[in-house]
Amino acid sequence: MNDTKSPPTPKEKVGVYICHCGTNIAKVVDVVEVAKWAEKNPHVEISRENKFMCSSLGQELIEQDIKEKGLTRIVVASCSPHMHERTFRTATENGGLNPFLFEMANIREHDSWTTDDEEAATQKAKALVNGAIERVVHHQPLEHIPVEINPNTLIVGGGIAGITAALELADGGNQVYLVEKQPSIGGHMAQLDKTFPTLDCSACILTPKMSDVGNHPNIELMTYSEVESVDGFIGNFDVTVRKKTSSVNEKCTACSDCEEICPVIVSSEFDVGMGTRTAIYRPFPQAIPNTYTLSRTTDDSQCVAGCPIHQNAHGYISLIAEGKYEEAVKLIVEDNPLPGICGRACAHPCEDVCDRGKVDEPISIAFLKRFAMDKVGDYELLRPEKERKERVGIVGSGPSGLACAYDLRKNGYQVKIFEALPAAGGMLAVGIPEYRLQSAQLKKEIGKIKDIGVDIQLNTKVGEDITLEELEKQYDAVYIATGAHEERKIGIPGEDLAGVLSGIKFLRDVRLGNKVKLGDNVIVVGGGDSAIDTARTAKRLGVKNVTMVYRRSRKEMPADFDEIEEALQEGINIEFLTNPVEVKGKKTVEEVTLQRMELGTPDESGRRRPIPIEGSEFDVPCDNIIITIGQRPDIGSLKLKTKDWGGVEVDEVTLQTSKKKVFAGGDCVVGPDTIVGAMALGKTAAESIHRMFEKLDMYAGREKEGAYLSNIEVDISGREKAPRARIPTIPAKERSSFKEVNLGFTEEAAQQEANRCLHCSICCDCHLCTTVCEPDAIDYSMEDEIVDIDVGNIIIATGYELFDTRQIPQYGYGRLDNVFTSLEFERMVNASGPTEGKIVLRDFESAPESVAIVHCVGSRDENYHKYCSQVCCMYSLKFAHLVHERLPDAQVYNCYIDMRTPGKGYEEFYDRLLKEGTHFIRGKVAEVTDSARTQEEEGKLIVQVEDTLIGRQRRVPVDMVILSPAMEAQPDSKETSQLFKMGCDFDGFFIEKHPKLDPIATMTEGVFLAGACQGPKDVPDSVAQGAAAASRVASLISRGTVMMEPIRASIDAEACSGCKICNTMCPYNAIEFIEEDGVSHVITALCQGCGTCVAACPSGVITGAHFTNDQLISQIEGLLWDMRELEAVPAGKEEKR
Amino acid sequence: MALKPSFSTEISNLLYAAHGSPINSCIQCGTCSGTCPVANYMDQSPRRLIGMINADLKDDVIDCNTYWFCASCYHCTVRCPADIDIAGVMYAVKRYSIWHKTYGEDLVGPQFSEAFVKTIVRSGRSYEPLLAPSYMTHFGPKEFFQEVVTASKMMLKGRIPVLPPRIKRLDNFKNMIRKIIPLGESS
Repeated sequence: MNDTKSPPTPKEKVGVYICHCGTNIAKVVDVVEVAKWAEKNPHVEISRENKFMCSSLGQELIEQDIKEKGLTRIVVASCSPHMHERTFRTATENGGLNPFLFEMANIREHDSWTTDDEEAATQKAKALVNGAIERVVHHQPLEHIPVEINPNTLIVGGGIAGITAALELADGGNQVYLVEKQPSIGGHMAQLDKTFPTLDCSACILTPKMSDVGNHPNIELMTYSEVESVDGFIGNFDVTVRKKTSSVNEKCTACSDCEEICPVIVSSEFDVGMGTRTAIYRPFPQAIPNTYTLSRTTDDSQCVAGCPIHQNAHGYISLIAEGKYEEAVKLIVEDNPLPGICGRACAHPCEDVCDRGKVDEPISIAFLKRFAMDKVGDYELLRPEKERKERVGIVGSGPSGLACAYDLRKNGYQVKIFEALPAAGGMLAVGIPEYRLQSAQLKKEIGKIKDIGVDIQLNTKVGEDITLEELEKQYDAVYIATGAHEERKIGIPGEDLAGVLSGIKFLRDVRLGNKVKLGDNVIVVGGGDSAIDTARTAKRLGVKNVTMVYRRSRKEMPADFDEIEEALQEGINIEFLTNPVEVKGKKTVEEVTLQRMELGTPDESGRRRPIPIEGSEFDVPCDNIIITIGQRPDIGSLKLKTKDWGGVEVDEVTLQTSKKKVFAGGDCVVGPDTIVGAMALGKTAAESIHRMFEKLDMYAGREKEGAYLSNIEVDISGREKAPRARIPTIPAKERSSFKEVNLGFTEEAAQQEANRCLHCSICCDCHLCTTVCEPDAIDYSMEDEIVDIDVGNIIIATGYELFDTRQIPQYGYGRLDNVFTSLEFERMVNASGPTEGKIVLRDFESAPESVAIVHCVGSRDENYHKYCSQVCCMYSLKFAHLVHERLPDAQVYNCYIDMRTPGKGYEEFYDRLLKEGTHFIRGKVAEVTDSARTQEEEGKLIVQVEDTLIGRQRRVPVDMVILSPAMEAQPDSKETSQLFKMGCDFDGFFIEKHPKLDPIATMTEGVFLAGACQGPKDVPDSVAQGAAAASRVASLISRGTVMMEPIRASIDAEACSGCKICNTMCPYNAIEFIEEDGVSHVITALCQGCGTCVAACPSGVITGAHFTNDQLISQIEGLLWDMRELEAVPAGKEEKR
Repeated sequence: MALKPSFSTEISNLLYAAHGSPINSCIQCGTCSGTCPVANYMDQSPRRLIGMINADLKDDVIDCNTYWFCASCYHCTVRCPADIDIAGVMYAVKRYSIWHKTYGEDLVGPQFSEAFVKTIVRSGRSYEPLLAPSYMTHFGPKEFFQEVVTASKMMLKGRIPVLPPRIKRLDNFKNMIRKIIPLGESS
C-alpha cells in the first residue's frame, strides 16, 4: 500500500508541545529530553515543553507560535484526546489554522500513568510524539458538519428521575415521549412510605408530579411499553416502541368493577408479594395513567395447552376457587359436551404438564371439573346463534362423534349420528365399566346433546344397514368415528379354546346386560386401562381369584396409577414380568403356561423391552383367560383407504380421507386412545368441515390444535408446598357391586385444591370481566402495537432493582418467616399498603417487640456487590425511626459496618436516631437463625453479630429482622446498553462520559443518563440528575444544530468497481448504488464514520476522512522509528536489542 | 539492602498459598468473629487478630490463643465480604509461632499439630494412639481413664487400627512433603 503514500509537499512546519501535566507526566517521562529529541525531526519547526499546556498560557503559546513562526501543523503530547482535543483544536483555530491540522499524542493515560520505568516511558513518549508528527503532516483541512436537532425527546423509564426530566423538558415547550415498562409510572419511589431525612410522605410528593406528567400536553405517556430498536444518531434518532396490549382500551373509567369479579388472585408486584392483586388490575390507586391492565401471557396455561381439546381448565379452577360454580360450568361446557364424563374418566393429560407439579404435585384438574358439574347439577349446552342448511352425517356416537356433533351444531349445522350398537356413547357406553361411569350420567349428557338438536339413530351399522355411498349422497359431509372395537390376539397356541375371552367384548357384554359366565379362577392378560377395567369387572361379577398378568414391571404399566392401587385394594393379584406362552385344555381352558420376563434395553416407546427368561415357564390352573392387550378398528365394510395396521388413512391436519367429503377421526384412525384424544379429533374434523363449507383455507393457523407444550414459564421460587387433594372412595369391602367407586370432592376440599393453582398464565380467559364492564372497555382481541417515533435526544432513566436476598442463605430470607426485605417493610408501613401501616409479623397480626435492621446485605461484599449502595444507611435509620414512632416500646437494633450519612441533613438524622434510643451495633451480621440456645432466645430470631466496638460476639434475640439489600442494576441492563449503544460496567450500571465532569452524558452523543441506572442513588440525587439531563437536552434543542466531526467516508467514483459489497456492510444504510454510473456513493448525512466500508472495499477506493491510508501508515512508521534500524539487521540477531 | 520485613508482611508472605485478598483489605466488619463458633473461647476475636497483625503488634498476636483455638471450619473464609482467607491466616500465624518456637508452654495446639504432622509424614496417615499423648496429659485422671476405655472399645470394634497404618509408595509421598514443608531433618 506504500504506493498510495504521497510525499508531503511543500514542507510543513510542525510545532510540537510536550506537556508536564504538573507531575503527572513529568514525574516519569523526561519531557525535556523528548522535546529536544523531537526538534531533530526534519518536519519540526519548533519543539517546546510546558507545565500545563491546557492552561490559557499554554494555549496562547500555540497561537503565538503559529503567527510568529508560521507553523502549519500542531502536535500536543499530553493527556487523552477525550480531555483536551477540543481545547487544542480551538487554540489551533485561534492561531489561524484549520483545527484539523492538529494531532494529539497521549503520553499520560497511555504512558506515564502505566509505569514507573522512566527510561521506557521516555522511549514510548518519543515514539508517540514521532507518530503524531509523521501523521500530522498528512492532515487535510476539514470542516465540521452541521446536524439539525429534532426537538422531540425520548425518556426511557418513568421513575422519579424520568418524571423530573420529562416535566423539565415539557414545561420548556418541548415534546417528550415517556416510555415505561410497567402499567404505571412512579417507579420505586411510588412504593416507598416516607423519604429521608425530612420524612415527608413519598406518595404525597410524587403523585402530584405523576399527574402532571399524565395531564401535560407536551408529554406523550407510553406505559406498559418497551423500546424495541433505536437507529440513527444525535439529532435524528429513529425509535421503535412496542406498546404491550393491556386488553383495556381508552374507554376505561377505572371503576374497579372488573377487579371485583376477577377470579384470579396472584401476588402483587407493587406490594412485593405482601399483598395480592387480580389478573385485571391497577398497580395502586394513584396509578398514572389511571386505567386497568389485564395481565395476559403470550401463550395458554400449561393445562389448557396440554389438553387436546383445550378445555379452559385454568378458567374453571379459578372460578371454583372463588365459589363461582355456575360460571365454572358455563365455561366448561363451552368447549366440552361431555363434562361430567370427562370429570370422571378422562386420562387428564393436563395434570401431567401442570406447573404445580414442579412445586409439589399437579392440581387434581379432572376431579375439580367433576365437582363443579355435580355441584351445579343441571346445565345447558351452547345453542346455535343461527341455523345453517348444510347437513353432516356422523358415523359412531363415541366421544369423537359427539364432540364433532357439538362443535358443528354450535355453528348451526344439521347433524345426525348413526350408531351400530343399541346404546349411544361408543366406548363410554360399552368399554368403561359402570363403577367408573354410571349409565345414568352418560344418558344425561347424551340427552343434553340431543337437546340442542343433534339426532342419534341407534342400531344402524354403516356399511351393512346403510352404505357410505348413500350417506355421501344424503349429507354434505360425513365424519367417520367408528372407534376400535376388535380385540387383538396374542398369537399363542390354544388361544381359540372355549373360555378364552376378548376383554373388550367381555366389557361390552357386561355393560349391555348380556349373560357372561366365568369360573372361579380368571387370568387377565395386559396392563392397560382396559385390562384393569376387565379385572375389576370380573371381581365384581363374583370371581374368587382374579390375576392380572403383565409382561413388564409396575413402572412401565400404562394404566392409571390410582386405579392400579384401587385394584390391588380390591384383592386383585398382579403378576408383573410374566407373559402367557400357551393355553392348555381339551375343550375349555384348564391351564395356562406362564413365563417370567426380565427388562432389557428401552424400545421405541422409551419403556424397557421385556425379554423372556429361558426355562422359567410354569403352569397355572385357570377357568378363563381374558385378553386385553389392545384393540383395533373394524372398518372393512366402509371401503376406505387404510394403513397397513387397519386404521383409516387421513390427512394429518384436516382429517380428510381419500374421499373429499368424508372425514375420519378417533380410534378408527389412530388406534386405541383416550376419551379426550378422540374428542380432540372430533373437534378438528368439525373445524375442517366448517372450513370446507365456508370455503376457507383448510390448513392456515391450525398449529395449536391438539395438545402442545405452552412456552410460558412460571416462577415457583418461594411457593409453599401443599399436598394434592385425594378423591374419597367407597371402602374396598363395599366394592362388590357396580356402585361408583369415587365419591367426588367436598366443597371445602375442592376450593382448597383449586386454590393451589399457580395461575401460570395469570389471566384465565374466563371473560367474566367483560360481562361487568359498563363502558365496554375490555377487549380480548387487542394486540401489541408498534409505534415509530423520531426524536433528537434520549434520556435513559431505567432505575434499579433490589438485590435478591435469597442469595445469602445465612440471613434466612424465604426460610425464616419474619425476615423481611426493605421494600416489604416500606409497603408494610405505608398507610395504603397491605397492612394499612401496621408493623406486624408475617402472621399479619402480632406486633414485634424488637426489630433488628441489617445493613449491607449484598453491598460492600466481594461475594455479591463490591460497591456501597449509598442509600441503605439512611433508609435503615428511617426504618428505626418508623418503628419507634409506631411501636414506642419496641427495641430497635441497627447492625452496620460503617454509618455512611453524607448529605444535607443526613448526619443530623443519625444524631436524632441516636437520641431516640436505637441500639447501634457496629458489626456486619454473621447470621440470622431460629435455633435457640437459651430460654430467652426461644421462639425468637437470633441475630448473631460481633459488636466490634466492644469486641464481643453477641446473639440478639428479636421478633423481626429487616434486611437492607443492595441496589443493583436492572437484570436486562446489558441488553439496554446495547440497544442504545452505550457502555455498561461489570455491575450493569451504565457508564457515564466522565465520572466527575460529565456524569450525565454517555459516550454516545445525544444519549443521557438520569437516576439509579447510572449507579446507586437516593431520591434527591436522582431528581438532580434528571433535571440536569433535561437541561443538557434543552441546551442542544435551543442550539438547533450541532457540529459533527467531519469524519466521513467517501468513495473515489473513478476507481469504484460497483461490486456493492459496501452497500450491505454499512450499519447506517448510508451507501447507495447509483445505477446509471454503476458506482456506489456515500450519503454524507447518514455516514457515521465507523470505517466498516473502508475495510470492506476490495478495491481500496473508500477513504475515511481524517483516517486516510497516508495518515495511518505514516503514523505507524513514525511510532516504529526505533525499529527502522532493525530492517538492516540480518534476521536472527534481533534479540540484541 | 532490603529492610527486615515487618510482622504483617511476614504473615502476608506466609499466605502466599492461600486464596483471596491480602489481609490489609480487611474492613473490620466483624463477620468472621460473628460467625466463629469458638469466638467466645478466644482471648482476641479473629477480626481483632487481623487488626493486630496489620498494626504489627507481633507480641500480642503471638501471645493470644485465638489461632490455636481456630477449629478450621472455614465458615469465616466463606462469608468474609473482603474475600480474606481468615482460616488461612490462622494457619499462617500457627506456622510462624511454631517455627519461631514462640508459643506458650501449656498449649495443646502446638504439640498436637506437631505430633499430627509428624505421624502423617512418617506413615502417610494419622494414627490416634500416637496423637493421644499430645493432649492426654491435659486431662484429669478420671477423663484419662474414660478416654482409655473408649479407645479400647473402638480398637476392639476395629474403628482404631492396632498397628499404625501405612500408605503405598511412602517414599514418594515423603519427597513430596519435603518440597512443600521445610521440616528440617526431624522427620
